[in-house]
Amino acid sequence: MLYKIALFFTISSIIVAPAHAAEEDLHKTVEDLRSQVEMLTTRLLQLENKLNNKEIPPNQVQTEPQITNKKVAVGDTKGSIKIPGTDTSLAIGGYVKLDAIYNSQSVGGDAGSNLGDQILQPGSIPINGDDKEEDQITFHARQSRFWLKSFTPTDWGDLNTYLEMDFFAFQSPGNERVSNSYSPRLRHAFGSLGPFLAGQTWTTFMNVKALPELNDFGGPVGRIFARQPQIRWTQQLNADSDWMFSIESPETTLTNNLGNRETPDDDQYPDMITRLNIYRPWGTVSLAGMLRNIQSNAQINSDAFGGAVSLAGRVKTYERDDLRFMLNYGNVLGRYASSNLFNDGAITPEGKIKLFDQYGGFVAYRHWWHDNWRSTFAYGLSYADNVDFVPTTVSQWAQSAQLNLLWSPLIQTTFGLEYTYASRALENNDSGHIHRVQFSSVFYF
Amino acid sequence: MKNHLICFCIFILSGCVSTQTNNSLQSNTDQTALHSIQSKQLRVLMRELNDLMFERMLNEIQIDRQRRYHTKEIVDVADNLLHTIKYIPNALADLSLEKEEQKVFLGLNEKLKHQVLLLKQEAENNHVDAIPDRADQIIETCNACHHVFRHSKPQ
Repeated sequence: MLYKIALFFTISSIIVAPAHAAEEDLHKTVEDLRSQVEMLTTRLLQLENKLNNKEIPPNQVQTEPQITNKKVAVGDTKGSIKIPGTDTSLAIGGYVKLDAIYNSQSVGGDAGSNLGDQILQPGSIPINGDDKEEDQITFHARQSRFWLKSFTPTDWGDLNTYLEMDFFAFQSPGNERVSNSYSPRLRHAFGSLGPFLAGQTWTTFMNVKALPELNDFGGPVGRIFARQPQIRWTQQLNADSDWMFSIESPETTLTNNLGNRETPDDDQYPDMITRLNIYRPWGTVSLAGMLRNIQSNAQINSDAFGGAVSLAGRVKTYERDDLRFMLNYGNVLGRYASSNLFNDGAITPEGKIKLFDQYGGFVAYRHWWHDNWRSTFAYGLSYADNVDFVPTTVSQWAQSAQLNLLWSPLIQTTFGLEYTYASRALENNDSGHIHRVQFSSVFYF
Repeated sequence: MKNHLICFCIFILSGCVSTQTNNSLQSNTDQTALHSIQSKQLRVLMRELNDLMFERMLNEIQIDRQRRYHTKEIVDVADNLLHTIKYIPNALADLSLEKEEQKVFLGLNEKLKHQVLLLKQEAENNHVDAIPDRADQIIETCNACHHVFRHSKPQ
């Protein structure tokens, strides 16, 4: 019995009372505990009072005393602060990312024109090693990102604004000789009030949650990927589903009779997109449909309507693992899929626009090896059923396979190594491939 | 007696929640043969909240929506925990505790209840930043009960 009492007080004093209390006598310990129970009971009564009456006398309950005593209050979203005198919560954030990449084949050119060396661009995969630049190394930090957001609750619903930028600006490439300077570019700039959204963000046709966690910024082949200005309405159907409808900025890309790309910029109708999202405890699935008008009024005067569908999702599998997928089909997938590997349509010898079927998709599995260690394997494919009259130098298909190992020793950091294999083939059966090894480090702030 | 023992076990285990980095919890829960449904749910939710940090493609507004979805679930789990905690004092009669031990037991019970109430309140108000620390406090209370009663009294 003496042993049990001694054990009891030794351990309880370590856990419940301050460390030096272990040597105090029984009476003092009991008094301390009684005092603590009384304090907690009082505190509990105050909280119950608040929960029952939803009104508390001032200065009785303070859940964040260390914050509320100061002029800056905690905001209503993660990491945010409230602008004094308003209900608006403001937050900034982002990350710094370094990519160190080995390419078995380079797309050629120097910084700014060698984007295909820095991110996977299926249309840039060299054919037959035609650039003869082998075993190339490149470093960059262009994916580093900065964002600013605000959140304000209103009678009309939540009012959100969001701005985000990185350094992948195509128009102002820096050189790699001295400064590696790159201009920031706009990624997202939108506001939303309740179900209404206006601004530039991910296309509604794309389910972002389905994209795999990769070091590479461009893969996998077969994904839907576009950011563009749009007006969107999101209708909540029930707790587990919603429906979106948007009109989005149009842009036509066509293959001319030389096999080159034309972007006539003569569009007269917005792209119309709708998407149904289903959220369940096992994951999320979406089905999206798109209607587009492909048009050119410059050298030719022609247009054509076409459509596309996309089924995408993320499904929880074993424990923390998940399976992500995207399957796309349509005759106007064009610029929306695989970084515009194929164009939206082709110009016939008679000067008319002809649409053609395209298929694509990917599947990715993420496995957690340990609390902080994880891997993703992703495979993607895109295929175009090109029309007969286009030159045989246009792409027919591309594919990619990626495997990585990521480590996050802290939640604010991720280090990872990734291997990529990607290949592309033309209509004339010429083909090429690359091997890529990419180390990345990400530091969030 | 059997029901009370189950209640006692639930009490010991119900507060045992984990975040990704909490090693102290890991060492304790590994020793247990049982886990309450609530603690599992809370542990998964906390982990999913953490995992949102790794989403580089979702923009922050989309991530905030995901966080709110999870905090609503945390409110539900906290409600279930509070319901379970309500029955903990019933176990006292069959635990053969000394008078002072009973006070410690009830003190820890009140402390746990208080912390879960705060967790619920913070989740309702979407104070996501406060939730991990609150969960850690619940873990500490749970572990304190483990150390004091689980090893010194027959179950």
